[in-house]
Amino acid sequence: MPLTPPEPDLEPKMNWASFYAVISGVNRHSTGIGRVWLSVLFIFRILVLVVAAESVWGDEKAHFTCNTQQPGCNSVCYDHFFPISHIRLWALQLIMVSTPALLVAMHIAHRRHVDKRLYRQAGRSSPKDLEQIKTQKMKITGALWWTYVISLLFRVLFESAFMYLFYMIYPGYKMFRLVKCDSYPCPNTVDCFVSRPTEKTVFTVFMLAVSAICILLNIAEVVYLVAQACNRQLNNAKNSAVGAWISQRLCSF
Amino acid sequence: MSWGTLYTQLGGVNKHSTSLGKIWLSVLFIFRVTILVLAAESVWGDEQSDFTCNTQQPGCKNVCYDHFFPVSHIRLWCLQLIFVSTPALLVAMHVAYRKRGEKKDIIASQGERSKTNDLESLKKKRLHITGPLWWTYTCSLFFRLVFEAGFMYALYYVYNGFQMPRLVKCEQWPCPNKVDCFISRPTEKTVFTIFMVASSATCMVLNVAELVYLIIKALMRCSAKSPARNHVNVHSDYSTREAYMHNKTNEMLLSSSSDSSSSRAT
Repeated sequence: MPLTPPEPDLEPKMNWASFYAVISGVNRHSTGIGRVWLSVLFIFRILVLVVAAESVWGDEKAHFTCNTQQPGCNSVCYDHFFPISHIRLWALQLIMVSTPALLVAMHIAHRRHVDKRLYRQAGRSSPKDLEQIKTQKMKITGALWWTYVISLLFRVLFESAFMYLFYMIYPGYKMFRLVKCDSYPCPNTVDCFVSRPTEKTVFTVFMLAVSAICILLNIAEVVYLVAQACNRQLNNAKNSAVGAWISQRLCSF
Repeated sequence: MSWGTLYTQLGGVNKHSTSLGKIWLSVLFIFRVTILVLAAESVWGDEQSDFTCNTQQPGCKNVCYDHFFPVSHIRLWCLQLIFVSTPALLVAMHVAYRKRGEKKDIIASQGERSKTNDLESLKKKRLHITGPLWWTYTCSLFFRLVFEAGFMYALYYVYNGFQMPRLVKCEQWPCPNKVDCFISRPTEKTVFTIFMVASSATCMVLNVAELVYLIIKALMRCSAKSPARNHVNVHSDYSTREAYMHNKTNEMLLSSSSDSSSSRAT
């Protein structure tokens, strides 16, 4: 059989690389746990989804066969047992979970814009000063702290919502080899066979476990930020008390 | 379809948009273009090959597919995104025209002594949305709304609602009498359709909010201008207010620099 050259891929594919570039832009202003979360997200979820999971689920419809010659029975049974494919659910989950990081990016951009305006009004509008604003790492304090914590809470909310949705649509993590279908136009009850059930079970368990790890990382980050803020408040209170005492003693001389 | 080039074009206009405009652009690109690319290839990829009819009659499947899917959802959404992004180019053209005028003024006033610094800063300057640019921007927002609404209505009209049925009954020639035809992945398609419609509606709400914001800002500017023409005192008030703002800014900068120096000392 003659070998044909590979056809050029004309279909638009999801560009996870540019997606990663957008999300990692926020990385510079994250905490250490936030950076770990981003690495887990990219390496264990996006990369695994692209490299492995898509080829496992690639032929899910083509190789879903039912024990009947009735036209349309295959389609209908497939639609009944797989209302939305695992791959699409995971891709949607990744997109929704990464979006709160953009809230933080917008807040940082707004702060930089305000800083630039202040610098200009103060007369410090040399390119070096403006560059300094761009490369300066923002501390997570004040309003930015609230934006960051709210974005973390939304992340946890979206992750949990998708895991719950997954559980509702596909109760249990195991993929069955055989499903029995009796939707119209299938005659009576018909046996239908799922392609690669064991491999799908393995990947499903893997993705669920990594999801759970990401939720834990996000909760740990929230706890860390709250603890850091409490620490800062305590230090400020202590310093102001000490400062007041020192100034009182100095005034008495 | 190279969405990257569209993004670079729109990103250029982004600099002169309002904050709501910037949010609109993010929603557009993250939710709509990303989801479209995600869904297009995998969910709608086999829409024609897996469209099966309960008949052996040659040509019946083709004819029925064409009857029930005159334009595919994916193509409609691509067209919608292209049309909706296009009014931003009106704004880009207006900004370019204004900057060309200002550049000519600089070169005319300074002649050969026109510094490159001035021209560079003109390129990077962010224009305020006032005057004719306000009208161009508002018209572009209005056209965006019209295109969004138009395409949503077209989708609703062509497919009789946003839900994809599992089974359609077809009686076009050459199909014998009435024939059952089955659509592939109808539930998944319904989910994505509802998602795209919801994103469209969000974008429309953002556009309406931006329009209202611009109108209110323009009305406030008009009301601020007219009393100032009659009263001279207001002008002196304005200059003292400006001086007050300068003082506040200096205070803030001084206090922040002293804070950082004290923290460095400890």
